[in-house]
Amino acid sequence: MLRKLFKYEWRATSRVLLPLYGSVLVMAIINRLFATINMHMLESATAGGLSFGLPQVIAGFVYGGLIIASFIVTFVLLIQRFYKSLLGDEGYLMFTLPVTVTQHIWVKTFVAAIMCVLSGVATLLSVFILAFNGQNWLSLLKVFPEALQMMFKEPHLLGYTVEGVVWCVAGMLASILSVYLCIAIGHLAKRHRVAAAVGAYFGLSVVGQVVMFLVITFADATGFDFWFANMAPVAAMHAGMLLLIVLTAASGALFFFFTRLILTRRLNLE
Amino acid sequence: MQWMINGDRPIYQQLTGQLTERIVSGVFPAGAKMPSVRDLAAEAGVNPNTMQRALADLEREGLLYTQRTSGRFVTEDKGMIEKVRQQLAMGRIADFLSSMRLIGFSEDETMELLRKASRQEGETHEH
Amino acid sequence: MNTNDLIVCSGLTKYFGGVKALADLNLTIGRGRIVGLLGPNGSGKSTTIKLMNGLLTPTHGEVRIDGEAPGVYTHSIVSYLPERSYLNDWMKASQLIDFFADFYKDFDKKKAYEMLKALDISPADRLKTMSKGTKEKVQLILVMSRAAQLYLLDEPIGGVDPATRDYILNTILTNYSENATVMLSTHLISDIERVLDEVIFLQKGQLTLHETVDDIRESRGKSVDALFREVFAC
Repeated sequence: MLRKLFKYEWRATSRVLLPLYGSVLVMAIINRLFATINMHMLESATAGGLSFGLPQVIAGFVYGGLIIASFIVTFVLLIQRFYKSLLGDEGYLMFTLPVTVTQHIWVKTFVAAIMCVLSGVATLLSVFILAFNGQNWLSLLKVFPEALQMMFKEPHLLGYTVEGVVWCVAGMLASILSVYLCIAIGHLAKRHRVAAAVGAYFGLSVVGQVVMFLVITFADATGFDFWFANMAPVAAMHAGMLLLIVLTAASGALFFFFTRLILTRRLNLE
Repeated sequence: MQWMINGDRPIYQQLTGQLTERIVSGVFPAGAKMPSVRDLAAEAGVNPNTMQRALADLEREGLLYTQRTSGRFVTEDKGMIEKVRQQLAMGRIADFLSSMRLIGFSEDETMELLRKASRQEGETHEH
Repeated sequence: MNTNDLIVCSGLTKYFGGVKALADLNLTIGRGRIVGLLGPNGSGKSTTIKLMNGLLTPTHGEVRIDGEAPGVYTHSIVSYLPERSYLNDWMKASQLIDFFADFYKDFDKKKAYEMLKALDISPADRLKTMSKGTKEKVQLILVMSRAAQLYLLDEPIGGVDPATRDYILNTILTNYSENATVMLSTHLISDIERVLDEVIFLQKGQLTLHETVDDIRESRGKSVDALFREVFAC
């Protein structure tokens, strides 16, 4: 069931976003072509004229616009996929499928996460296409095996990198889940649901600050940081990373728990 | 033959009458296998449980019988079917006569009108 | 689980803010029945059906389908036709059939395609290119192509033309199984009265009548339609 749900969620989302990301890459290529033609033009006798013409400027603007658009559209679409698909008319279909609410939330979260990563990758790739020529590509490709070598020499470096990646992934999932929770809280309101969701977002941030404050105070009071300071710097670094991961994962779990609670105990489809 | 279901009487009673008509008129001949309850109900546009009730009534009267493995059949007793047909006819005639009495015709006048009407029917049929 | 009481509502109550939509509904429906949920607009028909589907959570009381509260199991045995358009507009009819077949084990693809053909709808058409009436027909086909234990149809004949209405009623009758029950809500009674086993009258969220059609005709000497007009006269 989970796989099928994922298939449909992916299809519904990718049919909008993948063409968008693809067009970012295409525009990068077009801009690159213009730039290359430009350079050749300059090198030859003919100066000015066609080379600095309107097409290239437009292409530049379109490219820039598409990058911005890809991020905005990703953000908006992922909110929409949760809001409209589960809490709008389509909710009548989704919530009567033989699928648990947990599965619904997970599938949407994962697809959202993958799309966020893809939007970043598309942008990064487009920059590479624009900026890099043959030499740069080669030196870039060399970076990877060099980095890996360094990491095997210093295992801690590998550890930090892995922890960093895990933290980023956890952080991304937690952020997505926090947005979903806000939408779900908005659903609880009878009117002005959007305002309620936005309000919930600010509310959550405040709660987050308060929790951080409490954690730090607690650390101070019990001399937790003292224990920290007495550790070897490497161990402290790892402990710190692990602590970050645990806190992020815990907050993500809380967001998930409450979202699920609202959608099972307090569902009221119009 | 159309299925006629009207406003007030219980539907299963109306169905019993309609099924009886079909049996005596030969739509469902003696010894024939009856369609399934579901098919009959769909054809008549009525609830299958209601149709089932009507069929059960006819079974009780003896016009239909059920063989456990093969289904529901019209009785092979042609004599009985004929008797029911006569009863149905007599009932309708009685209704007709009383309705004529209501508008002031005696039995003899009614018979005369019947003969006249029948002759006219025959003439239109010849053309 | 296959209990004989397919639907059991106990003290089922739903408030929307201060508005009472359904008050203390006690109801038992068995299998192999075709039930009409009748009442004027706003009487609680849709609310009742949505509560049975788990799309609303009760304020008080509970509803159980085949002994279970609304959840994954009940969703797998209940086929629901909402009053609104709830399908993805960009999907084609054939894709929707695949979707339903993917999620519901009891979905009969062959039957769905046959019904599309009978109603002259091309499987390659996208929903957004169809008229409102055609979209409703597609939704109905998807719902009736399942071999569910309970069909919940919310106002299925409300806005359709008489030929489609006959087709819908005929589909319900030919789909009939002794194990399954159909519950449909409507405020147009005369068309469907003879298809129903029993009727439920809902008035301002309260159940005021629950009898079989034949009992009503026998005991009161009038059709359900006539009784309804009396009871709900303005």
